[in-house]
Amino acid sequence: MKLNRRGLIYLGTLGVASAVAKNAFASQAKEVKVADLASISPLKPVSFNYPDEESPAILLDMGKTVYMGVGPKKSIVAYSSLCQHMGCPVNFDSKSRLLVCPCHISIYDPARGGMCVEGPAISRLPRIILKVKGNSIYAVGVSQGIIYGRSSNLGR
Amino acid sequence: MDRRDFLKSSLIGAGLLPLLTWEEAKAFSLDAELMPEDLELPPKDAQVFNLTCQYCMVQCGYKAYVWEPGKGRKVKGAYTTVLSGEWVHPYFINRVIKDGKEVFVAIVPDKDCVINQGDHSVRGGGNAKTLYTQRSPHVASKRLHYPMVRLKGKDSPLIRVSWDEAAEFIAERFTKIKQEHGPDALGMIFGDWLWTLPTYAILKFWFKGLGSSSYAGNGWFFDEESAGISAAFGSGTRSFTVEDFETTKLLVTAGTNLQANGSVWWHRFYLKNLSVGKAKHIDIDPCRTLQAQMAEKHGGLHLQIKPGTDPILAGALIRLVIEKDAYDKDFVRKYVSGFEKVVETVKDPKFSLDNASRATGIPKEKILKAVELMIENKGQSMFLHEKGLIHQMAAFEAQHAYAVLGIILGNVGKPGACTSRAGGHPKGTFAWPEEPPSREHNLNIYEGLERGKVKALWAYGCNIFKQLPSLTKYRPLMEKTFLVVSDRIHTEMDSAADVLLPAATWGETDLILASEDRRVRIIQGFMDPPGEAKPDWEHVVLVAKKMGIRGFDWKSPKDVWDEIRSQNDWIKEMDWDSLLKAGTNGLRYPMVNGKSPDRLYSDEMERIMGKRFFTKDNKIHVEKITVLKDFDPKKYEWGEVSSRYPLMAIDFRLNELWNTGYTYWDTPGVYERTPDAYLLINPVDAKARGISTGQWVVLESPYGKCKAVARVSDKVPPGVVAMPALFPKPEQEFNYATRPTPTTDGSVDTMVACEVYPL
Repeated sequence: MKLNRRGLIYLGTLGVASAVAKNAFASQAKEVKVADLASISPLKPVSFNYPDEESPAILLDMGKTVYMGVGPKKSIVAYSSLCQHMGCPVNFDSKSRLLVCPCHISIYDPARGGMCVEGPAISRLPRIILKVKGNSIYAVGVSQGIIYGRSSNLGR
Repeated sequence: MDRRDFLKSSLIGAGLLPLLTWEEAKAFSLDAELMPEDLELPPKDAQVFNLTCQYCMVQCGYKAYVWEPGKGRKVKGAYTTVLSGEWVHPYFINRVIKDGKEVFVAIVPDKDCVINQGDHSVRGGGNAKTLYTQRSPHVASKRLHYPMVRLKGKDSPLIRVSWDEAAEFIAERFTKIKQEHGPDALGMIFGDWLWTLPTYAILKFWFKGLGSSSYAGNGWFFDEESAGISAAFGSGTRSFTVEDFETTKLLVTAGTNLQANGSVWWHRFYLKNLSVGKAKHIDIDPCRTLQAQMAEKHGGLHLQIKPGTDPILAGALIRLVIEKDAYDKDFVRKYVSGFEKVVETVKDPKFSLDNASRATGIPKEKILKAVELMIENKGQSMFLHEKGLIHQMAAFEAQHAYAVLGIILGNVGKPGACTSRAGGHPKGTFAWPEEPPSREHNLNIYEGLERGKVKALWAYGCNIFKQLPSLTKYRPLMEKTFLVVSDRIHTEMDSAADVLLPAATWGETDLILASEDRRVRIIQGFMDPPGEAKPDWEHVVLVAKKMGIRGFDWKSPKDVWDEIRSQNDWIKEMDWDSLLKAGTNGLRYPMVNGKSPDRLYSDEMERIMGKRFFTKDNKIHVEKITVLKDFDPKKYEWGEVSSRYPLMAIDFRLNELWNTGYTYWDTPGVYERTPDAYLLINPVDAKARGISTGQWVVLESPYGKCKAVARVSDKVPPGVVAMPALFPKPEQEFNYATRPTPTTDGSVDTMVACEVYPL
């Protein structure tokens, strides 16, 4: 197999990603059912809590394939819904397809890994790792960061 | 979708935001995806230090908590709630060396600081990520560790030497140059916000020690960018207090994007005032920024002005206020001198509504609505302006005209009301040693460079290959000089430096800075500097001593501060211990008998200081408004617009980028937003040039060129392009295309006629 630089970057990335995932899943991450696939519609957010009732999260079907998306179209993603700046719950703006914090206008892009694209937040929204089992979708861990208000993503 | 597919799709347009280039997409950061370990939080017995942020003029308060690894608190579940200011973000924590041992440090926004109340900006939130640690190869490798010199000229390698050898080397060369060419052959360019103590040290050394008057600051040639405002009040010092952002009824910003630079001020205004319908905002800016969008969304206005026409708009607004007989007559009668000149000046037909609308590109109804809002809220409005005005050729005219507008509406020295610069960086200069008489004829160091008169340069806390104007012209001239660099990191200056001196910086030594709402604080050192780095003021002491120059016997930061405060009545009562005790809220200047006014030009100021304004006759002066009579945009940058250079380029501050970006690449969740400089170009202009979003383009002016990634957007009007100032990547620096001419207030000009084409 021949690899150019781009390919190497790609493989390197997978290495990192799987290491991250292992870490995130390590021992205590728990599985929580979020919704049945049939009940999810594009651009209609679903609220749930993860890893426990103190930490609200938001699931979104972006309607098309997105970064780290799951489901039949690889279009479903979920994030902690507490802003990484000072913890206000973010809202999904279906027109711009962005998550907007109403307090100080930090703006996140759910299609780009929850990356913060504007405002005072200094990191992405922690991504809730999703898994499809049968006809349902489950939250199974947290990646990229720590959920606002906590020092660990482990549930109580 | 895996990472590779994601990156590909970004290239072909999956994103809703401006699309990513491959280069941009690559920067979509792997580091940001790394899972941080479960955090240790500061234990109750952590050592605590008081800090202010290392960046902008807001100067938020922070605490540094230091503890031994393993002794921190571990908490299960959520431990704090929304807006508490208590959450410790993983990026707030780092491991550094203190007293030779590794410790944990948490840099946390201080919820007890009156300025930020636990809030932070995107810049300040990354403070801890910038700390020197071997655990970050990126941060460790970019810092300067040891003095280095080129012993045998520009072609010889930089080699490590002792401090003593470096000081000796500089002293010998400076002495020789001074003997052969006179003191003004020694030039110095400094970061004028640089922690107060070093700034004083270099100014004293330059003026008194060397007797040279060849110097400039970052971003200016001469003067201090406040001429238009100090002509009115006798000082350019900011006059408001941070609380005003929550009580004002109308915020008027011209050429200043507080959302992106001064964020915590804007946060307070937005959350507590604008978004709850208590205030309105008029934003005057050629770019449709997020701040402008929010102003409109909440019932205010965005006046999308043609760059460089601010004096016309301000003149027209003044004329309308006077025509409606709506100025604050009591205030003007009591405190203002020269109002008749204002009346006379704005009678000129160029300030008619019709002409103003034509010249500025702002619809008449918007100008009228703005006047209505200003009149409705007179005496309760904050009029703030900054670099957008100061860095255009007619800087004095624009600044003074907006000042006069704010003044005649009585927006001076009252709660929620001011007429002031906003500021960009903290105040770092409290004493200005007497300059040598040669300064009178030696205002422009760049002329000295051009004529070959300046033989040596000391770049002191200032990246002279980024922050100065017209670098295509001036960089080669600066490279030829005997170049001494005091800096905290390796920069592009390494390539030409004859001497590199490593600076100990924020967190590594005790420093002093003041917020632009006039609170002076000690920033305590809490960790070891890298290698042999020393505070910048010590660099000066070592060289001065080698040259046998007396008056540089300071042993500690306190010694330097004591000398500074002895020369400034505003701060003379602020001894080191009182400042330490005052913590993150600090002490406010001007201070007289232990008291300081919250606002300048107020009843309180008159009670405390015995005068209301800093002018000799204790009046506000507006006579200089007559300069507007001669104002014609075509005299300046617009005069260079031609078929070859048909567009006008301006620059702007990126929220996430401070200054020259010396810490920009330290915080992965931040730099991934803007991995390359971008150029905003209107769809009309883009189409005419075959430019699409994501494409690399060249911006070329009569003075040089730079490159950026195109973002086709109606955030800029047709005919105008905009790119971020001081982007920290080679060839993406706008200053390589800017004009060499000082503005009318002695500042640099970052508006320039240009053409843009695909790379």
